[in-house]
Amino acid sequence: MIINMQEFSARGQPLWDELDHELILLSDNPSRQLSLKQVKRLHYLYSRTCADLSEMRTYGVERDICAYLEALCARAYAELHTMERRRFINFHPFEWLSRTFPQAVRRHYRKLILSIALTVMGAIMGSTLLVVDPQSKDVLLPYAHLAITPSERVIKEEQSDSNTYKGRKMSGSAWYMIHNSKVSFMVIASGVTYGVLTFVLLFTNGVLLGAVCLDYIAAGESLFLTGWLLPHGSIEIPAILLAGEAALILGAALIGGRTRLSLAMRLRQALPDITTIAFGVMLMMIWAGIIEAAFSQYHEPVLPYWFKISFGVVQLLLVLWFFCFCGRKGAAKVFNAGENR
Amino acid sequence: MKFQKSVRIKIPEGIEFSMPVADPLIRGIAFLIDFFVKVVLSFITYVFTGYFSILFSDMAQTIGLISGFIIFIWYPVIFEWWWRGQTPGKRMMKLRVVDARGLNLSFSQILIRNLLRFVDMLPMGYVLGGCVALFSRTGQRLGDIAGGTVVVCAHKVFMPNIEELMPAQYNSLRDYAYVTARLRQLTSPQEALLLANSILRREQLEPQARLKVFGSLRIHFEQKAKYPEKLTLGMSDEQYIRNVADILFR
Repeated sequence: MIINMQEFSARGQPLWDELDHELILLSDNPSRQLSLKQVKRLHYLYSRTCADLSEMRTYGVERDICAYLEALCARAYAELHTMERRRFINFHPFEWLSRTFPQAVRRHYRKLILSIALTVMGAIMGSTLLVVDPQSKDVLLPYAHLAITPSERVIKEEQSDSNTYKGRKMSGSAWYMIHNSKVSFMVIASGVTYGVLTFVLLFTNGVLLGAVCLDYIAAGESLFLTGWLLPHGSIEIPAILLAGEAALILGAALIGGRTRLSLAMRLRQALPDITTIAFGVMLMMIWAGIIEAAFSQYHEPVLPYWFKISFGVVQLLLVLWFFCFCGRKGAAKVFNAGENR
Repeated sequence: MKFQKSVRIKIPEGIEFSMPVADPLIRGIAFLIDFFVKVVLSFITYVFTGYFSILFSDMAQTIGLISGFIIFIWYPVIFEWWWRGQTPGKRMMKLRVVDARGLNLSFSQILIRNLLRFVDMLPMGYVLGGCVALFSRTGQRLGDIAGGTVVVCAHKVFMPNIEELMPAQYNSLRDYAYVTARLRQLTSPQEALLLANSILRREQLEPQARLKVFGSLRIHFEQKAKYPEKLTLGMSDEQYIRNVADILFR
């Protein structure tokens, strides 16, 4: 049997056109709310078009009509079956910052602990290497501003006045923000290597941090070190650790472990949290960039160390409070609602 | 014969549809177009900040740095989000990023596939991503695998006009209802498809090949149902086949 194309087309065309029109409306206005009647109609049109495609494939021979119906069914399927809407219109920044972000971080706390542990191990390794072989400093700290002795740097920095960075503050902040964001994005992307490169990056970062700290502590410049690193480090280092956490989430989703879910499903589950953490990290890096350019680079006598250290300590405590306690109430409510269902 | 990879999606309604995966060369051209757009945007920003720096040097540098960051890092994310999986380069080359399961793209997918460019680019010039895409069944680079996305050809499909394909004209073969019914009964969908394609693509054939194809088809269909010789004697092979197609499809 071969379909009478004219009859088939005349019968189906109005329905296909109506479905096409509805899909264009939905695509142009993603936040459009449909009534129950409209949803039922849309589903009916979709089912009819699917049935027509099926009939066409079995009895028909017109390849162009088949391709047209396939494209129509694919579009309708995507609109009807996608759970996540284009929600930027309904995006609430405060809600996201106070609940979504800290909750996403806490949900994967084991990966965060692993990220911290890798950095700490790296720091121990870096400081140990510097103690065992002081000549290794050139290799461990290959940066111009760290090549001179800590005491020399402290003298140099303390001699500079408040005009040293005049006219460069804003661009300096922007440079730090962009550089730090790129580094954290690189760390997140490293998760695709099943977390292997993430391990290397976090450990290397720890080695660098440990070597710098020990270098300054051994030279008796602990006060300068704390005043220099704490104001921006209290937000920048946690941001790097969170980037490591996001990378490890990605790595874990790729590996799979004990779960029976397919790779696609595992990744689909992990993506929203990775995205949330990535954005949070970027915000933290923007703030760290501002602090680093406007605050960290000024030392005594321009800015007293006690002030810088106090600022850093308060900021660190706020960061800890934010990630440990912020959004807990909301999470409990959601959990209870889930239980009641 | 050219082999094109495709993504096949089976939906709960019991039907399956496929999307042709974008050719790596076409993707490369789309990437180059995007790169050119980025360079042009950067140049415009550079000129603007150059004038601006006469008055506000620090602010001009800041604008330059931030716009460079947005242009080179966030450009694909922003465009793929607003244009539903297309950047200017992809739009020009008629490509689109789609969800590997046929659903709408989510923002997380777009962000992750673009964040992972940092790894795909390693060690230089997308060598790693390119190699992974070449060996992938659906041409996915690492970013696509992690984001659950595929880059497909996005040619707009329009409803074909049947009247345009076969204009309604007098068909002398219809005068013989019995033979016509027999022809419809004996023709399989595959044979009808072959016939339809030969008519649709006839303009692409060389004159000699065109004569040969329609001659062979006529012999084939004449064996199925024989019309009186007085009717078909002066009829060209192509006209005969067009009349048969008219019988089968109308």
